[in-house]
Amino acid sequence: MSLRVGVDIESVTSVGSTLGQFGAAYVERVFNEEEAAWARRHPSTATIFLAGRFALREAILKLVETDDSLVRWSDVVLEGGGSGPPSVRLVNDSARRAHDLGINKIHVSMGRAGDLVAAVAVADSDGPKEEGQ
Amino acid sequence: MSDVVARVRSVIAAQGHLAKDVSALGDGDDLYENGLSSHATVNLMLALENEFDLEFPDAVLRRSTFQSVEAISAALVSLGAS
Repeated sequence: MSLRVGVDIESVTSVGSTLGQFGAAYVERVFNEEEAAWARRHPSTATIFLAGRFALREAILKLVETDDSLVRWSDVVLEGGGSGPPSVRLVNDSARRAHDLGINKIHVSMGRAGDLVAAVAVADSDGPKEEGQ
Repeated sequence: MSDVVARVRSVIAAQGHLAKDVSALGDGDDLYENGLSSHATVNLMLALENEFDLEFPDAVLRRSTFQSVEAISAALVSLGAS
């Protein structure tokens, strides 16, 4: 078994700026409906929440990245967790890539200091699958 | 195509948050090597969609699509931008 690690850091201010400029279009392209609803219910902490979720997505996509990485944030389904770490599920090409890499389960953790949120994703992997497995 | 490239450069200047001015970069220079972050890629994508009144489909949402002025312009032209 081997471990794969992905990490990302995001600025809450940058996410807030994007929210202010693109609003719903940004939320719909990057986040799922559950996350959008959570943000609507918690307007005072929505920007921090979404910055954390973006960092998580990026950290997770780095686990399955290739030379031509996907920037398909909707492939990472994050469910539950509220302001804490959610459960992680991959769909579409990212799920196929994870399968090919032998990734079993993805564990995530998050932290925040001032304007920055950080996310780490760790996956245990059985190693790349042989063709046909 | 030259008009598309000029508009792409204008959007990158506003949204890319690059380490250097986009005017100092060639059309084929790597934007990620010049400071384009993952989150700035989102801004860039959304601003390009507004500028050209189109939407990037999932199939082209890859790092290579946003890697250079040339790559972005080619993707936009393939999606109908003119």
